[in-house]
Amino acid sequence: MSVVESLLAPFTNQGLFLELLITFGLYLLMASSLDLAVGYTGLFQLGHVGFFALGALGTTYATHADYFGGDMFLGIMLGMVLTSIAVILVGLPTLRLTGDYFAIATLGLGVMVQFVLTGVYANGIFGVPTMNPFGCDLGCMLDGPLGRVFGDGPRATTMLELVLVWIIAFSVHALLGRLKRSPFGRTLKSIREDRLAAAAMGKNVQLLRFQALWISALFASLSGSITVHHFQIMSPLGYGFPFMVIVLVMVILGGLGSHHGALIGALIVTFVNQMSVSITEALRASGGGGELDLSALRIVIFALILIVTMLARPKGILGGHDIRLRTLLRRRR
Amino acid sequence: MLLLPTAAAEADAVLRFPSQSVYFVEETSTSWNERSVAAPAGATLRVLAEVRVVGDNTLAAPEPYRIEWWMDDDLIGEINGTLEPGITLVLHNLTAILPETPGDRTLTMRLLTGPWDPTPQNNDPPQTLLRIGDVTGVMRDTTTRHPYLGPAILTGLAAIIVPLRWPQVRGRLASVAAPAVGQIDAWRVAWPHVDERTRQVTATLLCGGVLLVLFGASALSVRDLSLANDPGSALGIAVFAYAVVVAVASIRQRRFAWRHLGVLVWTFAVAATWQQAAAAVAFLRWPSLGALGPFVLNGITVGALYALIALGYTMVYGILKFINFAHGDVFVWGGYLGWLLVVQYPVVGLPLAIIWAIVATAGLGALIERVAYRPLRGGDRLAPLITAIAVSLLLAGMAQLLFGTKNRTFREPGSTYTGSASEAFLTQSYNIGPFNFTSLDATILVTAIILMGALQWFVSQSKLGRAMRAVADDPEAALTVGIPVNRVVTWTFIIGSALAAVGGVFWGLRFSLRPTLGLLTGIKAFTAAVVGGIGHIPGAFLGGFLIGLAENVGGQFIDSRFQNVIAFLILIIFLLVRPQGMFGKEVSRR
Repeated sequence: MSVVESLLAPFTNQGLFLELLITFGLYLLMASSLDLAVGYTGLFQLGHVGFFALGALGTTYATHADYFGGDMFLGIMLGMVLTSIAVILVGLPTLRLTGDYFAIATLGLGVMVQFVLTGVYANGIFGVPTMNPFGCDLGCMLDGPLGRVFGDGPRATTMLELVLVWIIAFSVHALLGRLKRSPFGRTLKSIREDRLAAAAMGKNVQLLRFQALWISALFASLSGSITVHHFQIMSPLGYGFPFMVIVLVMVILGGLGSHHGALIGALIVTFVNQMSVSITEALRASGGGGELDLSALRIVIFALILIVTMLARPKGILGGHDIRLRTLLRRRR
Repeated sequence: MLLLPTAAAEADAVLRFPSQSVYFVEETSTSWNERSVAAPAGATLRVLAEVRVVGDNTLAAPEPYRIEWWMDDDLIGEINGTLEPGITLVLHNLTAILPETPGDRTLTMRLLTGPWDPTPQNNDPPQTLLRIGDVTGVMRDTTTRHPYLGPAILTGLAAIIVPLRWPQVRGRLASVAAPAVGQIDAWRVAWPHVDERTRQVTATLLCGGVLLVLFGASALSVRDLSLANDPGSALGIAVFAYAVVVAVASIRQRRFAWRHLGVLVWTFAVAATWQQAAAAVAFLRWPSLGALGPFVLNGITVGALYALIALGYTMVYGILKFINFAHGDVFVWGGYLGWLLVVQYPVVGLPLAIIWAIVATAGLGALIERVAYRPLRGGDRLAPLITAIAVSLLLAGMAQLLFGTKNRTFREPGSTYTGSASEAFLTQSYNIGPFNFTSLDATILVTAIILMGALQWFVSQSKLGRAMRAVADDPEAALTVGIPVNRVVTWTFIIGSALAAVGGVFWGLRFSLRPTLGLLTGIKAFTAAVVGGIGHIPGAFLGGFLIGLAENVGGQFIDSRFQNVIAFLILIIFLLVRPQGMFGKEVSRR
């Protein structure tokens, strides 16, 4: 497979394309929720992947047949409870810090969650069921009336999963968008711009910052839960710092503080990610890499994207502005 | 892990291994991290090991397998079965009788498969067997007399002494205990004219006393972790405590205190936390002091290296008020650059390689500052931090791209280091009391101390150092009086990177280098800088030793797999209690 072919693979290979759209939904959850904390409140938190990992852990404990064997809602709830505990434990002492210190403290949390999980489950936990609301997983859903909608072709399960993930992801995205436009969101924005002024207006700045961190963490945990259902494995090795930077790239590429920017960033990152994987594989197959360890190529690409974005267009693609679907439609009319 | 679901144990001792996967398809040898259990000789040992044998989907027909448990060289148990294609098999639970002779034992699980009769008459495996995986763990004889009582008393006393000594902690504790202790009306009614300080002290004594009793009780009674983990008994304590609170409040107020329902939640949370803490204390291992010797030594060596890195963090933060996130990766690159000329292309000896590494890494640091940080200086405070994160990841990725994920050391065959005079010098070993060290350890320590002293002298006495302090104080004023701020900043990065390079080469000599090393080491070194008071050079240095010792020695009391968490806990504690660090003067709100 040539490099060009491998670049086009996401668009020519239907199965891969569907898979990427699911990944996009999962990334959208992460990016949209991180934007609430980083872009809107100015809380530069780097522990987002830690919360993601706790969601994954909660779902694994709650739904895996070897542990509790419950349904996906139980898993999501357990993940959110674990995440809330982590938010309280880490948020309370660190929220009075600003900027850099807060970033390092939350990054420490993320790294430690991954470290403990890797220590306990070095090779991950296999055999997590697919999404199973009320104990009925994807196969069971297709046996029911949904089977008539999705048919029984080879892609029926993937399509059904895609629809479910997108329903969750886009409703959360819409919810967060509503939240960001609400008085609550505007207060958060005022905190980002000037904490002192916000406090002078009678806002409880610390409480609001804590709430923003909490809400953001809850949706990261939700993303972790659904990701575990999707891949059916909890593998803590993937919940590390590189993933955190990838999520950061989504938010920053789209533009900090612009809600749909996170969506655009997530979309771009999903495809760039797959392309860099494809290029790596093509290079490896052709022996073009020599003695280089090509698996690091993806990391290097994302790091470069982030540096170039920061130097050339620090406000991201949307430049801190936000587009609203309604405005776009009105213009077209 | 304390939060994991536990199985009831009916043996004298339980050895629990974490989940481990063995792949059926290829010959692998994987090992558990070391777990140890204290068990008397001749005891019954229950081994809970979750081993997942992951079957291959291409397996055509059911394959017979055998799992053998070996203790040292003795076969102590075996399981025979058949693996279906595409099935994941989970195994656990082995009961073994420990031998009468005390000592450390190694437990090995061996998975075997191949065309043989699955029910063999003799224990000798046929030669045709394919050995798929070994999973080994070490049982260490760590029997001590009172493993639980000591820490219980210490924790309880600390819970009393620390808040009494430091009013800041007391205030926080009182605010935590307030819903349960401080705010109930009964308290006010019973003791109306009480001032805030007395209330805090009493709350402290009450909490500490309850902790003491609870820890002591659980230490004496809790021998089996599954008991301590039982949430039911936490609930029992909570309900009891709640009943007492409500009863007191109701009697005093002459009506039933419904509105203290929130207290139930608090009491349950506190009780559950105590329970988990008691379990954690019971979980601690108590190595003998003599056995700690190597870890103390290791802690000092690692601490010296952390200190070298922390100096770079603290200098850059002092001057730019910016965390140079990539500094940990610059340190790793220092090690790799030295390694390049010693092992990869063995052209120069170690002393020259160190000089090369220092020069090249200093150049790297200056380059990063020039290309990535300088264009963003003076603007938004977030932008340089994001860029620094990206640079950190870029350096780690490039290191992996160029040098691979393998652990790299200077001791590899074919390097100019092996067999050289420097190796002969650095590997001489000495023995003082429980400490058995080589001259490499001594060299690292001495070098670190000399470099720290030189840096301190440089910053306080030299012209450039005075310029640095001026820029740290007020960059604009420094510019006004003619100090070339940009050049001073570049020199700061050069000096910090050079120090990190020395640390990196020594790390490669003493331990090994890998691309992901920079992140965690960087966080720990940054913690050291925070602990010492950021911007304070001797403080960062001492902080490095503190972190190194705490994680190496402390790691022996918990599980060495989790020793990385210790530095993080120290960071959180310092940010909470003393954000200005050990030597910082002003109260920092950053």
